[in-house]
Amino acid sequence: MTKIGLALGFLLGAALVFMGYRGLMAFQASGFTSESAYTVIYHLSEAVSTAWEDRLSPELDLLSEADRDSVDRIARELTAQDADAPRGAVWKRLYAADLVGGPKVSTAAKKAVTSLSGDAAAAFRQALFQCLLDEDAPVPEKAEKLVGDATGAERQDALIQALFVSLGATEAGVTGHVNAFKKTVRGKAAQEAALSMIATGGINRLWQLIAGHGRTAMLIGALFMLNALLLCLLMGSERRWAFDVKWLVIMLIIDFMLVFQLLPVVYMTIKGLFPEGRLSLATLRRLVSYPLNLEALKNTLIAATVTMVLGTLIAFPLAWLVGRTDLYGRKFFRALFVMTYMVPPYVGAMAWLRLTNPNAGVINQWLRALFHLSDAPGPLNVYTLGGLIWVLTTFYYPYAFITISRAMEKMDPSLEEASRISGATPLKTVFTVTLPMMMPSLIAGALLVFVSAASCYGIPSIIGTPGNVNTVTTRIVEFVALGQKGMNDATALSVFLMAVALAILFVSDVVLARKQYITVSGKSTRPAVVELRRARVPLTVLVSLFAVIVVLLPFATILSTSFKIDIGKALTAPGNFTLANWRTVFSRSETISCLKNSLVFAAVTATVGLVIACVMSYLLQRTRIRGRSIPNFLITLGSGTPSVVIALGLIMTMRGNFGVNIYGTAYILIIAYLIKYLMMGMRTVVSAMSQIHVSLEECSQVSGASWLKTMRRITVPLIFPSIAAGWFLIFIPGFYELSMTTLLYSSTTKTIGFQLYETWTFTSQPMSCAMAFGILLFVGLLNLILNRLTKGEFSI
Amino acid sequence: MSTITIKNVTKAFGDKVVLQAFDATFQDGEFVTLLGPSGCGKTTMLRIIAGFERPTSGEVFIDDQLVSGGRTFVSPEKRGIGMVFQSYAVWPHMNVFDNVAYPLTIQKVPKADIERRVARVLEITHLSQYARRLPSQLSGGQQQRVALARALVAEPKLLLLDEPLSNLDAKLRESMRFEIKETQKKLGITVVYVTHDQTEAMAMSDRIFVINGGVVQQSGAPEAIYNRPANQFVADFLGKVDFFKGEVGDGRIAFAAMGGQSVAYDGDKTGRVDVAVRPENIRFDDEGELEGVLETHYYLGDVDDCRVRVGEALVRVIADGYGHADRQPGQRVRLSIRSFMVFEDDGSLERMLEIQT
Repeated sequence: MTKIGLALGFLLGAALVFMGYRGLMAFQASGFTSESAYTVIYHLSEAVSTAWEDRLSPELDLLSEADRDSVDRIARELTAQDADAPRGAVWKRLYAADLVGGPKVSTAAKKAVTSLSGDAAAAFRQALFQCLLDEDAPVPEKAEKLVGDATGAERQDALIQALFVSLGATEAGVTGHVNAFKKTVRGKAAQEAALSMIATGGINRLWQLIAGHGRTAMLIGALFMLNALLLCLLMGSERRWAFDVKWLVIMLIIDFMLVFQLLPVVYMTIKGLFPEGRLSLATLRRLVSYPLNLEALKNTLIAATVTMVLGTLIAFPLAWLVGRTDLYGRKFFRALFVMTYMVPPYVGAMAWLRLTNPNAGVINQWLRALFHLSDAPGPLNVYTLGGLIWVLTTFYYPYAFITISRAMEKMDPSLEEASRISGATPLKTVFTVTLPMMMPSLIAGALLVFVSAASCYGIPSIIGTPGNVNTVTTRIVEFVALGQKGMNDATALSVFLMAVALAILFVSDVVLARKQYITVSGKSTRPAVVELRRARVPLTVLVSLFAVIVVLLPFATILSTSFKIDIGKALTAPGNFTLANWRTVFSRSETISCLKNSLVFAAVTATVGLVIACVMSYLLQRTRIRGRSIPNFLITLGSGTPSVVIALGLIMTMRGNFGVNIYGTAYILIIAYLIKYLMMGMRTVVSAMSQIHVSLEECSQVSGASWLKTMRRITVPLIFPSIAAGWFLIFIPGFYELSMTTLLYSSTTKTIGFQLYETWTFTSQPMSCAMAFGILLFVGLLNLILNRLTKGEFSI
Repeated sequence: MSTITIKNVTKAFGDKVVLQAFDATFQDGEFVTLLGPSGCGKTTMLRIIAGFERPTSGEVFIDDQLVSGGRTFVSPEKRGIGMVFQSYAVWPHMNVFDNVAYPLTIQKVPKADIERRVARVLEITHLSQYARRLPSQLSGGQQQRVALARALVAEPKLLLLDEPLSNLDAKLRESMRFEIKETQKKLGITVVYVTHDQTEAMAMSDRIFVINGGVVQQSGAPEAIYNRPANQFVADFLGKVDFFKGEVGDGRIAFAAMGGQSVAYDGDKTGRVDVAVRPENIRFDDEGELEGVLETHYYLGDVDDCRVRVGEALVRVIADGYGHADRQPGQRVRLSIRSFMVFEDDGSLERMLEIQT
């Protein structure tokens, strides 16, 4: 039974592919400019058929047989049809041809005709027939404007037109289809083909759907076939041919990821390797032969590497000090450093640009004043590779910090105590026990910093581009903006960036995960806290200083800039303080609509994402169904792909060439966000679920609760904090996203992140700062809500 | 071999006092056990000796050298102690040999010596064939022995063991108990052993310190503590015991709950008392002083675990397994008590029970 079902599914898929292919071929042979022509033809055909069957044909039947033959003959002549063509086809064709190609009818003339209705209209049409039969018969008054003094064929033409106008050719719907027809069906041959389709009724609903959506049919068919094959494989390996509804869910998620994630990147890779349909390394060679590409490549690799080294060097001691010593205010510092994680990258870039701009940078002004330097620009210059690295480091070290401190907190403190009691000093213990045990997490954290820095767009777009320090991401965006010309280079750079990112994802998820030491932790009394003694105060001061420079100073700069009139002067300078920036920026309708877009997109993404995350968590943690790890793998792959690459892939594949056309819509943005951020939400829910022992659920079931009730009463309440956290983890980055939006936005789908970037680059930096601080406040507020919602269990 | 002197050590975490005025001297080569329920402060005391915690007040001497107290604090690595942790704390990134060799490597012992000494200690702990394995390839018992070998390799004069057997299964626990004791005897080192398992404590210790609520309740040899507990808590914590309220008068103790039935008593306590009886000290005896009805009995093979209703009181009797076939619920039986313990009824029993229930 199941086997038959699978076979049927496969066959259905094959049939869809076949028919889709035929439809596509038919379309390509038809000469129509767009597949939507089929839809238009179908609708016109419907309208014409209705008119013929409901009105024209019965009215013709009222004539005497001889008269009818004469009228039919005229119609045949007008359409140049063979004598054996059926009457209906002739008239329908005539009607359609008149609709799409007839002479222009003035509105007044049209109005005159259409003012008649019911019996009057029918009588009017009968009169027109008479005129057709008899050259000298008086033209009905209402048709006079149309016919005028024309004679012969011209007169016949005009009379027929009057007939069709009277039949309802000007109905709003029909007019729309006519206009669409004129757009999509061009050229004589195409028009001829379209007209005969209408005349013979050679287009039915199914054919319209298939020929009109040939690629879509093929895509769906291919998915059907693939799913059937995959199910065969899964059931075969299980040796049990029984269908499980869970597979349906798994297949749905797999299909989604296949179409919107795998297809784009695979297509992009193929485009990179086979630029002209043949395997050629020309595109890739351009990476090194074209100076712009090579420079971007070099900058990116240098910046990411140095950021990784610096970030890890900062993060490890920081994680140790905050997690394992009696540093003053360690909880506060921890929260502070983790919080940076939730700040949009471009905000940091804006702040550091204001601080170390060579001319007007605040720090530069201080330094010049402090050391009595000349008024020449400098000494610091953010518009350099060094500046870029600094900002990247201050922004991405928390990634390593979080990874390392999480591992450090999980480590059984008695492992370190065992070393102490064996005679090793605390410092020696760090090097012989702590560091080696941390190594996998340390490397994972470092790689995370590398890949995040390399795929970052927000920071280099604000700092690098004006300073002419271009990275792979900024170049990709520029190349895409060039249109078709730049596509090859954009593709090559993207393929390179993706290869780096995925290689690193593989190393940290597969290689390192296996090396992760699982330490059996007994009930250790309390986490071993290293007493810093004399170093306690100096180290606390050092960490505070770091916090001030890296966190507070940038935020303060953003805030103070947002109140400035002249950004070159201090806020306290006379007359330099204003609230106008805030007022202007938040009262602009543009800002409001962008804000609305951002909120809606992020909320939709987060909600859809969370539903998928919950389903996946359940499948991964509570079932042993085969194939449950495939969507997990695809989702991991998606989140590991750099944003810019995801966006470019979507641009290349989602404009209809694969049967899906969502380019320029909100869907493409939401899908992009979903692919990038779904993982964050999913991991949160999965780990929460893994911590709830199955026995809690089993106990509820034993107590008589159904599965649904158990979920509602036990599981969901227990993991609710994580569900809320997961939602926010998708919502927040989706809310202020920039890199993907830059490539995928259209005039109606601009988001707040993009609006901020535009304001910064083209309008006003203080206004942009006001927006940035507004975003920070909003994110902070969300954090507070999350904290309350989860009773302090979560904050980001 | 070393002597540990603990003088009036108190430890508080914030407002919570977990150890109160601990005073003790552990002799050379002595096997001392700190015994008590979880949260009683025994592990804290051990960690104070190790140097992982600093006492809030009081002093700790190892071999007459002050290691904790006042402004003096010798850090753990300088105390020359061996320690086995409850979680074993075997480093997962080093193989067995490297784990065990670690303390010697720290001391910069010549390589050849390290090889020799590690080999010896691995032999003692029956780990010789696992020297090159990683901890993840070892069973729990083997990991535990690695931890022990590592604690012993530097030939410490003092060995601290923090519930080292609690993560092992029952069979293994029994054999490891024996091995630890043997090793200690062979090396003649001082051992401080922390556990909440009274059988473990009884089997291994020269001296047991029973601790409750941060206060030492009693210290002494296992048999002394078992047979002559200082208070109701100690009586209850070691072995099985039933308490009955009684009143002393005319050389007898009468039990209100048993409808006034009484037993002979020649001790010096007077007035209201708590009488503690171990079930194995009660016998079915036709000449017995107490009379009741057998309510249930569970035959456990070696013994027959019986409940006898005496008046309103339910008396537990652990009888010889041999005669179980003759016993029928509902039978009238007589009981005699071989020995019992009498405590003044100062309300401490109630306090204790309140904590436990």
